[in-house]
Order: sequence, then structure tokens, then C-alpha cells
Amino acid sequence: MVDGGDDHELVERCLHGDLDAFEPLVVRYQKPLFNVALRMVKDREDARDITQTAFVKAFEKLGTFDRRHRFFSWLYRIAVNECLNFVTRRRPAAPLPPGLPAADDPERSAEAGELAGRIQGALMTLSPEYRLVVVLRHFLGLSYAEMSAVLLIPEKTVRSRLHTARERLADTLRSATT
Amino acid sequence: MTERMDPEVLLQRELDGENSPAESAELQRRIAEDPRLRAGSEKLFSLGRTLAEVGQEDPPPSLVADVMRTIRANGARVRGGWVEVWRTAFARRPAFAYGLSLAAGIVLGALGLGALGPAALGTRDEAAVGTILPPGRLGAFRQVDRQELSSDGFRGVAVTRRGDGTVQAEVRVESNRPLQVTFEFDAKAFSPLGFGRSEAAEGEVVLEPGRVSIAHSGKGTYQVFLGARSAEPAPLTVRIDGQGIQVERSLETGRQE
Repeated sequence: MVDGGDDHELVERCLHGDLDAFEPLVVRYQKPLFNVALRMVKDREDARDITQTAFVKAFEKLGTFDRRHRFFSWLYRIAVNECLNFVTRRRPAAPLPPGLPAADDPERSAEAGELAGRIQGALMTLSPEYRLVVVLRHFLGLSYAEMSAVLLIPEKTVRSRLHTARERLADTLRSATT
Repeated sequence: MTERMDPEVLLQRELDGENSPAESAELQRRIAEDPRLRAGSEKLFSLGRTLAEVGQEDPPPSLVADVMRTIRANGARVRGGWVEVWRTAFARRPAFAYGLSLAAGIVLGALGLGALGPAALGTRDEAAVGTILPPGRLGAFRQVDRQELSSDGFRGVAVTRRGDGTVQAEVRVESNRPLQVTFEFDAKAFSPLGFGRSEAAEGEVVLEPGRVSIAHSGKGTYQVFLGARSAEPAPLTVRIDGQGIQVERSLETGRQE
């Protein structure tokens, strides 16, 4: 997990008109946010757009951030909502056959490695809600409590959703290799 | 304790590294005894190893610069106007800031009085944006009207108060979705003197002749100060619009005593 000890201080500076204070927050959280988006939507350009939009929205809504809570949970929630909105809008996307690299980006997928391509393909067969818990847990390393705070659902629901998601993902990966 | 725990739960907890040594040992014992559980554990542990091997990808190198460029462009529009000038002035030189507020109030008053008509004001995009006067600087007010605005998805209340030649309209609203808060008034009866809001309310504010509209999210309080051009009462309307939300209330503004 990212150490955001002085996040609140930077937020305060932003709220007092120091726009530059937002830059360290972008630098600090760009990688996790981009990776959440990438694993949710698969396409790097779409992930980049989602990440950028999430940061801009976060900045615009900084005044509504409740400083009793952790900044990253609030920021991740904005990014997660952006991902879900994007996926909902794009809906027609049929599940990719697991094990196949992205059809629109075969070279990149090859460079990134067969494993990443297989995992991404399998992830895309999960519904967005299940995909999200796998991404937050296994790619960002969030705890159940942190996931609960980001997704605004009880920890028990997070556990049960992740349990099901893992089973489905494991089955998909296994069937793709046999 | 571990004897009664569902082996599937133990398996998931093992994958998360949450099992105690005793629980891990218990799980291993059950796996050794149960071929079905053994198959399930191999499948999940294999998934865990595979996921662990896939690292995070680096974001595009220009992402930070692009985000900051967009924010600065938006910031220049949202914060670079009256809000920024006002805030900075108050922080550094309060006396100057009150002078600035007074000057801004006079300009807005002139707008409301018709010295500059709508034609001179131009399009909506050219209307003034931001905060002019701080709340509570215009003397004593007595409450004239109070109306509940609450509806599904938000809570709110609107209050009007009357001071010496001045009307204050206040809306307090709390919502988990974006709303548009609009004050509407007869520009012939009132001239806008200023606008105040709670610190947490950061949405864009557009001041026009006869109307103040605010992009709201979360929790906030908004106050509009109006100079009364006549002792006669004239109503003021508060409107809340959002997805599936449309609430409108007419509030009395009282007579000059």
C-alpha cells in the first residue's frame, strides 16, 4: 500500500489555491490508478483517459473530501467509479477468449508476456464487480478493510465476492490451458 | 476453532496469508485427507502464484504533465477568477480584501440596477463567476421565511432573512449526487451584492442578472446577499435540479421595517 502520510497536507495546500501541491499526489498515485484502470478495461489508451479523468475529478471535488478519512480510499473510489462508468458505457464488449492477447494490440501483448495476456484475457471474462475485487486485492494489494472503504460495501461482501471471483478466474485459466 | 471452520474459508484465508500456523496446519491436514479439497487448493494456489507474477505496468510518461495541464487550465477558469483573488487577498491583507469586496459589490450592484444591461453583460459564458462578499459582514438580519427542500436523494433547507435594505437568501444542502442550486429573483426588485458559501462548497458559481446558480456536490451552505430596491416585498425562488430531482420553492423576502 502506498504511504500517504502527508496526503492531507497536500490536499490542504490545494484547497488554499496551491495547484502545484496536487502534482505530488498525481505522481504518488498515478501507477496504482492506471493499473486499476488498465486491468478493468484492458486498453492502455482507455486506461490513460480514465486515470486522467479520475485525477481531474478528484481535484475538482477536493472540497468535498472528508479529511477524517484516507485520501487514497477516496481517490481510488473516484477511479473505480470512472472505470465502472466506462465499462457500462462500452457494454457491448464480448468476453475475450482467455489465453489470447488483445486483438487490437498484439505486439504490446507479446512484449508484456504471455502470462500477462492470459491473465488479462481471463480477467475480462469476469463481470466488472468481480474483476474489480481481484484487481484491488491482487494488483494493488489492498486489504479487505481498504477494499471495503473504496467500494463502499461491507467487508463480508468483499470477501464473498473475491472468493467467487477467484474460483471463476481459476476455472477460466485452467480451462484455457487444458 | 479451526476444527469448525469451513475448509473453503481456510483455503481463501491461506491465499491471503491470514491463517495462523495452527490454521495452516489444519488446512494441510484436511487437504491430505480430501482429494476434492486438494484439487481445489491446487487450482487456487496456482492462481495466487500466477497473479503474483504479473506486476504493475508503468503509466504513460506524460500522464502527470497531462493531468496537471488540464487541472491548471480548469483551475484558471474555476479558481483564477474572483474566488482566487478574494481568497488570496483575505489571506494576505484582510483590509484590502474588504475593500475589494466592497468594490465588487458596487460593480455587481450596478449590474443589478441596470447600469449595465443584459446586452452589455453578454452571453452566459461571460457572466461573473465566484465569491464576492464574505457572509456575516452586512449587519443584523431577521428571519423572514424558511422552507424544507428535502427530497429523495438529498436534504436541504432554504431560509430568507431581511436586514437594513438587504435580503439574505441561504440554502443548506447535503446530497450524494451532483445538484444545481439556483436562486432566482426579480432583477428590478433586487440587485445582487454578494455571495458566500461554506468552505467545503467548491462548485462553480455563476452570477447573472436575476439569477445565481451553483454546481453543488456533497454538503454545503450558500448565501446570496441582495440589495432591496424597494421596501415592498418581492418573492425569491430557490430551485434544486439533479438527476431525478426537481424541487422549487418560493420564499418571502419581507418588508423593510
